[in-house]
Amino acid sequence: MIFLYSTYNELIKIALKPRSYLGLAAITGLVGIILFALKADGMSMISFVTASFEQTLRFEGEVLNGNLVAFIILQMLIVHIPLLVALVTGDLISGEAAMGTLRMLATKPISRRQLLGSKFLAGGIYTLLIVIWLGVLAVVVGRWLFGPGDLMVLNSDGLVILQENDVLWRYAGAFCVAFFALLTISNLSICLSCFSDNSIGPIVSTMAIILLFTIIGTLDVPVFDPIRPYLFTTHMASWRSFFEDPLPWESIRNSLVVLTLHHVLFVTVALFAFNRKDITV
Amino acid sequence: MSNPIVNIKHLSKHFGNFHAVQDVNITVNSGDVYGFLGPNGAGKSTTMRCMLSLIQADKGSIELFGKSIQKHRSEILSQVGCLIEKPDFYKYLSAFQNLQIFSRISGKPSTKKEILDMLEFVGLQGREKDHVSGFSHGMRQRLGIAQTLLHQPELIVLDEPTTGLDPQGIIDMRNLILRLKNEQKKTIILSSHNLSEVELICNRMVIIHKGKSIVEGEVHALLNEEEQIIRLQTSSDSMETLLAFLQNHGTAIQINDNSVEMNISKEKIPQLNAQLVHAGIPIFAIEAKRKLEDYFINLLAS
Amino acid sequence: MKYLLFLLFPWVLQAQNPELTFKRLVQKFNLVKSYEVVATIKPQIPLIRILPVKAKIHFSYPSNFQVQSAGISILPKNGFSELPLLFSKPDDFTAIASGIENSFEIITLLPKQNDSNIILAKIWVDASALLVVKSQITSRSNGTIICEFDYNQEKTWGLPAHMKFVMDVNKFKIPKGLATDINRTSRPAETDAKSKKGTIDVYFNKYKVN
Repeated sequence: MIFLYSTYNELIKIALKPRSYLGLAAITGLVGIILFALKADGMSMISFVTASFEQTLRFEGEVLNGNLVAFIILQMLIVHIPLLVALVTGDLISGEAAMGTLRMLATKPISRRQLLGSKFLAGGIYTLLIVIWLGVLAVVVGRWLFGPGDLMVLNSDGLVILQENDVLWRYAGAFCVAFFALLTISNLSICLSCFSDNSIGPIVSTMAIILLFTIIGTLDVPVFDPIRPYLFTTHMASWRSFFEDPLPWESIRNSLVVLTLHHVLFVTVALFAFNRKDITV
Repeated sequence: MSNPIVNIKHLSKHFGNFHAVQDVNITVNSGDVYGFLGPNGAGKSTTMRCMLSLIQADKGSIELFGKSIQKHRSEILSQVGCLIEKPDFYKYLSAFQNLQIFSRISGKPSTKKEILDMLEFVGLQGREKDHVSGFSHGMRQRLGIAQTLLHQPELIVLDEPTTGLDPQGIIDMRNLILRLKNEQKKTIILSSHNLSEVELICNRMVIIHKGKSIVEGEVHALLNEEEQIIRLQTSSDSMETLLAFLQNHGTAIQINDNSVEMNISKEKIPQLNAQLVHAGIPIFAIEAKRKLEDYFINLLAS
Repeated sequence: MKYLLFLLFPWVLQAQNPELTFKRLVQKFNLVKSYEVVATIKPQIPLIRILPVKAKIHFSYPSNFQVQSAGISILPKNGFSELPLLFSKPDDFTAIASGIENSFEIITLLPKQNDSNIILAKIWVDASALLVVKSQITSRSNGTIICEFDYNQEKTWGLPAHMKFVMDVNKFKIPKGLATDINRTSRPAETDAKSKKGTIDVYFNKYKVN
């Protein structure tokens, strides 16, 4: 019961902390800008993508529709959302240490494991909220502004056109996987937060790790080939697999397994560190 | 002899090469107001933090309510209220919200009425909706006491509770501690630099220096309160007469042109006073000097 | 003698009259002023994956086509209008006999004007039924597109039940930088040279003519 109370506490703290709304506001602003830009001149962007095909072919129907707009929004924000998540979750332990409230919490009957667990859970709920909000803005508002339609997706092996009645469940799956990937960021930042007594350190460290692993993942150098499949950043975009045809279930499953292993790793390290942490601040 | 509420044996803790606490032994009985004395950096806070599981001790055993803190932490801490160093709260939350947050994880969540009553008890009635960011240090200290007492703990641990308070605040804090002791029969561990305060309200104490406990025991026994040091103030003209008069009553030491100090047992003070009046020596004041201050300084010096 | 030859070898007279055959095809084409048809479009093009799409096609004389589909459909760049364009401007082309293939008369149509978009057109004609069974049109904008025609109930109007477009896709490329696979876990295997031809099959059903 005390664990649930603690989780409730954490959610209240997140809800009442002004910084929590930075992420939501940023997403709203960014999506708004993208929607405006696509409404103003989205067709020229699509023409750039389909230019080589349009020498011989013609695409009939509403190519620029809500489903495509939602996909473009997801593509563009894949780099930014992890920062917005880490901005809040990276502060959950270290921010309390900096404020001195960690000392107050740690003298209560709640065990350190329960306290940390409640922070992980609250961080996960916040991440879910971010993903849901992004989904509402991208899919719901996108479809409201641009209408439904078939989804045209450009993958590295070609163009895939998915029919409208085949798209929504894919978005549901994609958002679930995207949430699972972002949860890795949340857990990583909370883990790093256990090692710091200041607010900014874990957030910057999280972004530095994401940046480093992303660069390793995208550099076309054979020496990184053995480690690339095990980097969590390699699987951050596995939500895109839901827009391939046929659906690469094995690839999605592999991504989920790798991400799960990272979750276990981060949570285990955090528990070990936090249980042994001397709270001197 | 009541059962010890706190029993710490051979406690040691080091940070790197620095030995913060070395082989400290502490026993606090039920109903005690236990003073924790020592200069800055002596190891008082470290000892308290080890006792409350904020820090892991390297060696030694820590038992509260007869149980090991490592094995029965949650059960023990549900009966402990503490305020370690300055009270820190969530600045973006109100006083009421802060107390709610802490009470939910104290083992016994408090009702809205209980929280409001506690705020009134510490003198913060009407401020429940105000953000803590707008509170003065004294108000935060009061709020800290409120969160310490909210779940009706049996053991209260206060780390320098009067630091930063104005004189009225110090008096209020002292009265509160006495009320807790006398009316609610709480056991209180009090760490302080304010020696007069410790002398006034504590019945047992330990003095720690450089991580080691130098002396522990009953305050009155340690200070030999049968005897007192008193300071007499007179005019500079009468100083010689006074010194001559006091030769028959014990060793008197001239402090300055106007003051003399001497050891005397408590019962003999009225008699001395009457004799000085009868001898016609003008005495402007007889003050009892803080004995603990002397004791403390001498102890550390030795 | 001429009549005897015509009786024995009726195609001889026709093959010797590509202009006549072309003219008769044009006359048949001119009979249809408008129609509406339900079509199923089934592209099979390298680098593109798409399921068959249902569409409604509206035709109005001489070469206006409107395609209405619920979703995205892929058609050749000029859609269905290349052959109708030829038939709507017969005077712009010179018809030349190019032989017989599988009993179908081959007629080559050469543009009279040098700046015509269509550089060369070839049609395979079932002269007896007066139906175009295959076309090969080379234009400046589209390259060469081959189309095969199958007919059913609407052959009296010259309207096909099935068209199969075959086109070059050598120039198809994925724009780099837009489709980076950041979740690629292994190097993509070197693939064999893929087919450089793509096809689009269109099946027509439920014509409403004129």
